[in-house]
Amino acid sequence: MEDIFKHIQPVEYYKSFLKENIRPDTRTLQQIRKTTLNVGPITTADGSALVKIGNTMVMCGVKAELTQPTAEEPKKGIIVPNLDLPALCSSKFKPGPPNTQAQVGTKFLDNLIKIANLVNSEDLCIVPDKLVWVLYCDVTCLNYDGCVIDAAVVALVAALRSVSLPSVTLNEETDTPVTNINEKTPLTINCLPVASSFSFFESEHIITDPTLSEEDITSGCLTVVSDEHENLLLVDRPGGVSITEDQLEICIQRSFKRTKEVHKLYKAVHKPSESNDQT
Amino acid sequence: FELISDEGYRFDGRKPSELRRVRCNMGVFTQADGSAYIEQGNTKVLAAIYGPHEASNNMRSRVCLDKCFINCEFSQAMFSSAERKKRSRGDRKGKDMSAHIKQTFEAAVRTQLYPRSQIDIYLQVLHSDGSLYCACVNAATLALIDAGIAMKDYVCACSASLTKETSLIDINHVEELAGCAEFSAAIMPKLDQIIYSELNGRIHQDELGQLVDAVTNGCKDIFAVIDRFEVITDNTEIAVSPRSLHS
Amino acid sequence: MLKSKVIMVKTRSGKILKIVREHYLRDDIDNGLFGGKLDQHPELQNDLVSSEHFLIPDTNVVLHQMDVLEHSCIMNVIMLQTVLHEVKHRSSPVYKRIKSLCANPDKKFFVFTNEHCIDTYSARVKGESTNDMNDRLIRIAAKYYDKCLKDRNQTAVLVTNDRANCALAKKEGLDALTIEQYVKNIVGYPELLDKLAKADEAIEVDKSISYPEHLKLSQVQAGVKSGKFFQGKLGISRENYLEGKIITHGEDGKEILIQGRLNLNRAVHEDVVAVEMLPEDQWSNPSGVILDVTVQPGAEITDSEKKKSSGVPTGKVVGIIKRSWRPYCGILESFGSPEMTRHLFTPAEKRIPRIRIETRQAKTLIGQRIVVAIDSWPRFSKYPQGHFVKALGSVGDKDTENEVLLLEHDVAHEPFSQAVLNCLPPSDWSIPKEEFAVREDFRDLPICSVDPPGCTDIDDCLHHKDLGDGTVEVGVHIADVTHFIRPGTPIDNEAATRGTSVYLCDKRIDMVPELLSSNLCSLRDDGDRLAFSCIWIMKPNAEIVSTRFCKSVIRSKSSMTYAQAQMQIDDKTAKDPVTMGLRGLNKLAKILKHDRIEKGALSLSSPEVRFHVDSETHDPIDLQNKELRDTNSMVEEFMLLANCSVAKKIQQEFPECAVLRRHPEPPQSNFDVFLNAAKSRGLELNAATSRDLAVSLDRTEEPKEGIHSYISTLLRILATRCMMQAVYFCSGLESDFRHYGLAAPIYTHFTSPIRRYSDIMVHRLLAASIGADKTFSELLNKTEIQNVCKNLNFRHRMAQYAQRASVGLHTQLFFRSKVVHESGYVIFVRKNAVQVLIPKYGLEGTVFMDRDFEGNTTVNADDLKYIEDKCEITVRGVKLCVFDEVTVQISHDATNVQHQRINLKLVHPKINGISI
Repeated sequence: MEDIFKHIQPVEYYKSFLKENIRPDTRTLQQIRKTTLNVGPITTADGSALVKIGNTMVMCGVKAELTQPTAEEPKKGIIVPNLDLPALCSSKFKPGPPNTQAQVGTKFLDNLIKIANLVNSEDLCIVPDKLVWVLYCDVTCLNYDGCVIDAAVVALVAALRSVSLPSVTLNEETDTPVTNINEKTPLTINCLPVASSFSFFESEHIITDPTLSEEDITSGCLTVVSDEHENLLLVDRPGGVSITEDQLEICIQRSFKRTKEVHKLYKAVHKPSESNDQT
Repeated sequence: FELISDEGYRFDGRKPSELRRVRCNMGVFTQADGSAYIEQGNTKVLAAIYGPHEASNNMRSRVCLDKCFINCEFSQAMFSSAERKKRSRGDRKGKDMSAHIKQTFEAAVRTQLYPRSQIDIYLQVLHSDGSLYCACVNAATLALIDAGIAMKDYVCACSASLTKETSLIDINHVEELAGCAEFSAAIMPKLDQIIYSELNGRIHQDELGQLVDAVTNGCKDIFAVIDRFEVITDNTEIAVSPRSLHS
Repeated sequence: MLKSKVIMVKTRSGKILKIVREHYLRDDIDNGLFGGKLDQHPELQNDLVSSEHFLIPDTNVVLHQMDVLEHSCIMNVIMLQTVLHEVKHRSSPVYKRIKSLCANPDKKFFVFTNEHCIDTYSARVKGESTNDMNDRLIRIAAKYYDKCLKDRNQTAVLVTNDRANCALAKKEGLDALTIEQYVKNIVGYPELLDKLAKADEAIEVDKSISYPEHLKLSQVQAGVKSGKFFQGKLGISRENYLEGKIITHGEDGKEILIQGRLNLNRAVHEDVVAVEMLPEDQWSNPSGVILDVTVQPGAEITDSEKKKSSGVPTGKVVGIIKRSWRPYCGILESFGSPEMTRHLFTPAEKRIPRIRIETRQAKTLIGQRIVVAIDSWPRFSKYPQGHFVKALGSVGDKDTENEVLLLEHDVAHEPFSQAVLNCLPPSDWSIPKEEFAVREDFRDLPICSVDPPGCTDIDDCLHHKDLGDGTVEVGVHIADVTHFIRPGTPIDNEAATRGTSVYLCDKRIDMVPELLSSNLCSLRDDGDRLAFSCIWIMKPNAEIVSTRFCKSVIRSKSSMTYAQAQMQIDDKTAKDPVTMGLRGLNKLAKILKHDRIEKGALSLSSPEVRFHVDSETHDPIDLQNKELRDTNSMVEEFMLLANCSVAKKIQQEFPECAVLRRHPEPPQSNFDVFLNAAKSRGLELNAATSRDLAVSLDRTEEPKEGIHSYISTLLRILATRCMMQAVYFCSGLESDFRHYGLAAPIYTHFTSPIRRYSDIMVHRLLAASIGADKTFSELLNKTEIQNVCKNLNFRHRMAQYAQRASVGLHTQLFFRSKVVHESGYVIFVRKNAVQVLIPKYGLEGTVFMDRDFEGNTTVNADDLKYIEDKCEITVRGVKLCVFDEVTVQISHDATNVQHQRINLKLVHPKINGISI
């Protein structure tokens, strides 16, 4: 009975819960789902992380390669993020080339990397104008149940933190890179941003960490990215109903709180060396 | 370069007729109608099943009146192999693999029970270390079971290679690289039927029987494992030692 | 199944690739102690070890002390997987030797797969080098065995070459000894001490010499990559042991000359070295001087002999990439007191430097041929240092010398193993009934064989039958060896390894056991034999109407020698079918030969002699040139025809994996010296194509004023030396199939399966293509075929060299107590010598123009005039040109035991101080 109600009248169904100040999955409006972080599950990647927020599951793998820098920025390494939303993760998506949402997500991650200055791109330089590192950060969503971007950011940051690059020198005579695998330096991450997404229901309810069905029935979404020092890095508000300044303030405050919680997670999993890597 | 030592051990310490460690799990996703995760050694594959459902718009032409059609999509995470492969979903290897898996399950699923519908099999390789086709088939079998879709029998797949007149089963990436012929087959273990087989590379006709025997035994071993599978940790865990936190 | 195993993940970062491998640990790995090879009481006693013990050698012991390990008293050895792996990476010859020791049940070498055993695995400790980790793994395994053996009151002794590792092991409570300590204290085998390889410190420091240090391998590799150094295999000149060259890798491989001790920098013949080019003003030329080490041990051409500035690319060795040292045959030098332990060893191969060894058996070893291995070549030692391996017998003894030449040419000559003999059919084997059903019956045909005298391994028979309709049937019947040698059997593997039978003057080293080679397969005229036949229908003008192949049963009517066959043909009264057939064949052969030569096939020449051997002493008592009769060429023509027909057939049927034989066209530069020599005598030759060469050689047959008539033969002999080696190859891997010498577009070997393995492969392919036999996987695998071909090419070359050496040996024996005057011809003129060929004995030697046979200079440089372009040398006013006829005195010189040799002294023309 309840199931039919949910499918036929999703909005009414949802409203009936909101009246009790609770959500269908028994959360309160501010409550965030259980977040899990696992670093280094993929050994072929140079850095990897698996993040779960509730049922949403995202994996990020970082592959480091050598390349020639661009002519405009000869001293800067390159970080290439990519968000993949395959058909596997939700019936919402169809097989084929990346959909709009994936492209928007990729752009978001790219902006974040630049704005947050996640990694000093000079750190990735080996020989100016000749040889730099390029870090391919592929983020794949395995199960889509809302707030993929929040999970993607955690996965990206955690994966990058687990990267250790071998020392590389350029052999002047042969112009070929020489890699010393015994000397590895962990990548320095300048800041640890956390994204928090919110949905708005009938312009009065702010729903923190919406699930997929919540995203579907609510109008408008807001993503706030902040770091541990309560700096705002990004506020993304792609249309939808208008919100008030107060609402925005609430969202920001909640985001700061969320950031602190996730930080504990970052700290807990961070191991300075690649402990499961043996040569 | 010897794949097998005179003492009879392979690079990784297995004997020729031994599988790698197989671990698997069903129902790993909430969004899909059925899902499974399998690890065969370092080859790690996720499978998700959507359906049976009404055919989606772009698939209308494939609808059959008397049975369902199977849509299969194989993709490999960029970071899944030693070298990052810049390949999109549309690449040839992926299409090939999708087609093979699709054919395999068209033979095993009781498609006439679901007329005019569509079943999607989505496969995502997270970590590749040889025998990809086989791991995909085994994962898809589990996911189809999870989705409650009727099948004639389990489908179990296994690969084998031949070196020094010995067949090595469940070959890993290093063994694939050795360039010996690679034979893969999917069988229905209880019905004792081969529903798919593929040979890559060259062998002499006399050697085929030996390979088929080896692969069949390998498939039956896989069947024994996934029939009463070993749960990895808890029912949502993909990988080891997670840290979690409630907010 | 795999439950009991712990998973370890090993990550190996290559360049930037991350390769992840699984590593399974097992609890079911055999340690050999229970019912295995190690379940026994070791007998070898050692003063330093109180109990029964097993040996665990470390990697360096295996790498350097194989001669000790191979000694029959060393048994009960535990070979660790770790050690085997390391050995495999560092030296493939040693790896082969250790593998064969492990396979030998008498030696009781047990291989323990320690890295997959749960009790002996250990992961790398952070910051540990691969070497340290391997040493640690070896110690862990030793500890494990110690524990296992405790109950049996036995111990495992770790033997190592490395003092530090030994000390570390002792500290961990292990029984550990250095190999020196262990060998010195073995009870009952003092001779083992001689076999101990010397560590890398000079036994004797030569103050006179200090070689430049070798660069590290990584530096060398970087240098080669950047193009600063050149990599190549060093080939030392046969005439001057202080001069060598490398041919650089790559398509445009160029030659780099290396001269002098210091520039060679401890590189030994066949080592793969890195060479740095010298500045152009130091470039030099190959010395035309013949340097004879045996005459004047002190004489060297060194840097002191400054060369003209315009030279060929010249370099110096800066590093060794791979040593190709092998055990060398030779003798101990006789000077020095036999009581001393340090001696110099002179290898028989002139291109190898002398070797310093330590031995306590010098007294018995002097006057013997011995085998010595090189261990190292320290910077401050003039010569490399090595150790004694074994003695072969006394110098000059024919059997010893035969043994030496077989060893030096790597010819496997030990008796066939039991496993091989087990593959043979019983000696009273006869053709089973079912064979008649699947074969054609040719027993009524007038089949006969024609071979050299004394031939017992008859591969081929012929027949000729007039069909009465204007066509004739011609058949070539080849011994059906593949009926007996089945693929993959030990006998097949052995034949593939040997590759060819080797014919020395007084003995034959068979590729297959005698029962097959001289009886069951040999197509003698004493009964029915299995054959593989090639049957043509031909028109009288030798045009082929049809060709077919079949397996058959034949009965040869007569086994003849060339001479006998010739007599039958010439005997007008003989009218039997065999003789008639021979006449028919002879007629066709002449047409075939004519056609072939028209197409540009070369008829070259090489002086060949046969020794008449005393039936009891087996010493040569006389020798004669091989005569060429019509019948020789008759047999040859039909064999060529059969080979061509078969080549076409198998290439058609198996385009990817046919075994073919190709003779590459020689580059024009090969002919330079030859053409120049001819030109100096007014003979214009053309070598642009094989046909041009054949035609212009034929033209020299016409008598010409001022030149003796033998010149044409001489030119043919010299032309042979300009040719490339013909080689076997797999058709799927090459595009050029042409046979230059035969002017054939495609060619193979089909007609001698008893003595060539290539023919066995061809038989199998042909049988498969006519449905007479099954294919199998190796037969159709082109890389596998190419590998076999490579070995065959090597074996054929070695067999040729061995044959040549054997002729040389017999020539010496023949002249042992003779001094003969004989006429010969100058075939090369060099700066200080001429090379003379004596056709009667097929003998070639150097006559020095500037010194006598004691090596004293008798002619000053001023009296010597050498004109390279004209190929002439003028000594004290007497001019000698190439192709001049001279008279020489031939004598045997035994003053140097090692290099006994034939001396040639000039008799005519008379030159003061040179001739006698």
